[in-house]
Amino acid sequence: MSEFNIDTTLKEMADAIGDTISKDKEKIKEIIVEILNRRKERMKMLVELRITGDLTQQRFESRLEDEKKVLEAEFNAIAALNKAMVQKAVNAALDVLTKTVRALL
Amino acid sequence: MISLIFQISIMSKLSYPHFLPKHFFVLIFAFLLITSSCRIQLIADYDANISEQIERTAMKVERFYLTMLETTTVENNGRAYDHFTEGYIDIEVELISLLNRNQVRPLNENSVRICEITLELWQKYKLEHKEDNSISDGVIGLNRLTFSDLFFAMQVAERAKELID
Repeated sequence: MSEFNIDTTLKEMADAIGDTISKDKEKIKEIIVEILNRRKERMKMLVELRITGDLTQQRFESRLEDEKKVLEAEFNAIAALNKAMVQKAVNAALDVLTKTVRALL
Repeated sequence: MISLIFQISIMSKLSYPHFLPKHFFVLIFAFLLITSSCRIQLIADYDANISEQIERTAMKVERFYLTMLETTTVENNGRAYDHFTEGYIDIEVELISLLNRNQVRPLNENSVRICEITLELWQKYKLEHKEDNSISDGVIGLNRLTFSDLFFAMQVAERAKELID
């Protein structure tokens, strides 16, 4: 007959969260690097177009404002990834608790 | 009654010498967990149809700008706004559709915001083309890159759960 030990269960739940996050953070890091590389290309092109005169000073400044919006969009994508990671980690912890309690009944 | 039976059952298995009321509530919570298959949800489920629509719209934008770049020049009013009105409308309709489809899904505010920004910039660059009645190769390239990055962000947000799983 198994016994319920809340300290052990909490430790197992914390381990489940830790394992999940450590696996997923590498994937998220790769995507953030990809987003930053894309941003670098865009900024480079923006400056080149100002130098060649394709963009007037007014349009250049307007595009810089647009960059803030693109950055906001990119942060929203990263936020969605983080939410997915937290959801997975918390559910992994809840699974541990569910299995432990189920074993007691 | 069920709770009482549960409490008695659990109490007999506890390793703690003193069973406190707070432990009882923790266990009741745990009991509710297993009986209601409790899981948290912070983000909308992956929708393959929306993901496909994002891909399709991204390809339309690419085709639109590449066609403009490869088949026309700024000379002789080759890039006058009127020549591209239909393409602008077609893509704007797709972007509005994407926004609407995302807005009706719960827990989806990140995707909604990305769609709003994409639509806003699409309308802005359309208006700039209309005002100038022309567009240079360089600006076409910059627009392509900007929208490609926005669609990438949109796809990352849509596939977030799938990417993590």
